[in-house]
Amino acid sequence: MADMPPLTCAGEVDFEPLVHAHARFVFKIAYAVLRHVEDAEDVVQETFLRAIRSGKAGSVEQMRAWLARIAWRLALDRVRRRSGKRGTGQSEDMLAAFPASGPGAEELLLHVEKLTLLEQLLKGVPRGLREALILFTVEGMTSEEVAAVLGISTSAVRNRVNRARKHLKEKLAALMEGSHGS
Amino acid sequence: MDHERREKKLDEWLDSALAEYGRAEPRSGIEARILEHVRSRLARKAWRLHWRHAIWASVGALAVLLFLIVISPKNERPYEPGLVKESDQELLLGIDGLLNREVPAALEPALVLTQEIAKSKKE
Repeated sequence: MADMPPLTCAGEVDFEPLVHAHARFVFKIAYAVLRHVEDAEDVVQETFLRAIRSGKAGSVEQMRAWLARIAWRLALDRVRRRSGKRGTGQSEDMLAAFPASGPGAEELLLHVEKLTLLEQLLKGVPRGLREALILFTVEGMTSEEVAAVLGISTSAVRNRVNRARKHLKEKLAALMEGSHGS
Repeated sequence: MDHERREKKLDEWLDSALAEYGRAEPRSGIEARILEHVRSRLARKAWRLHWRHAIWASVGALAVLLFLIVISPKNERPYEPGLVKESDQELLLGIDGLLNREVPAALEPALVLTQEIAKSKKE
């Protein structure tokens, strides 16, 4: 790797430090949409490739938000392409993505069940609200960055997140009542 | 009171589920894999571009060559009526003409023999 030429684009930006600084963050965004480790990694690679080819990296002010927007769009495209081929939530991938050291098998199962239930509940939330909430859950993502990705104001982001949460709580409450009732 | 407790419980569940939902770590070495992938893709693109240029240059050269061949003057001699080869004249004269021609002294016996054969054939 040492003898490799530096990765530069038309704007003469060295991409290696950029990849090191943002790869994990971009992965989290892609994973939040795709829920599949390999697909998310493919999207990260494509994101940086697009960023290099665009030649705009030198003039971008909010690099994180810019990369997040590219990754977000690519991930959504991939979801659209794969819809029908297989479901988005895959418990195997959840298990693979979850750190190996930590909870025991029982705890892991609870975690997977919790995420599966959340995914099911999220499917019932209107798209605009769901997208805001999913982005908002990504670790390290600020409401300003979510707003930049979605192209809306920060107040609209907060509003959508609150409405999405309300939706989820209502569905969860109905689910709990149903299970207690039966 | 019961409603408040339930709301709190729902909020707690949702907070924890959403936090877990957003928590994801890539496999180790993701940065190296990305850099390797991007480098290979860019190199492949450069290679394809290089070949495309080479093919277009070849096509251009071929087109120029064909054009030069088409516009170059034909290498044919124009027809000149006065220029008739000696061998052509001999054909025009026929066998009789050949027989009546002056021949070198060394070929005199052969000529006499040929004339005798021709005479006998006529008879």
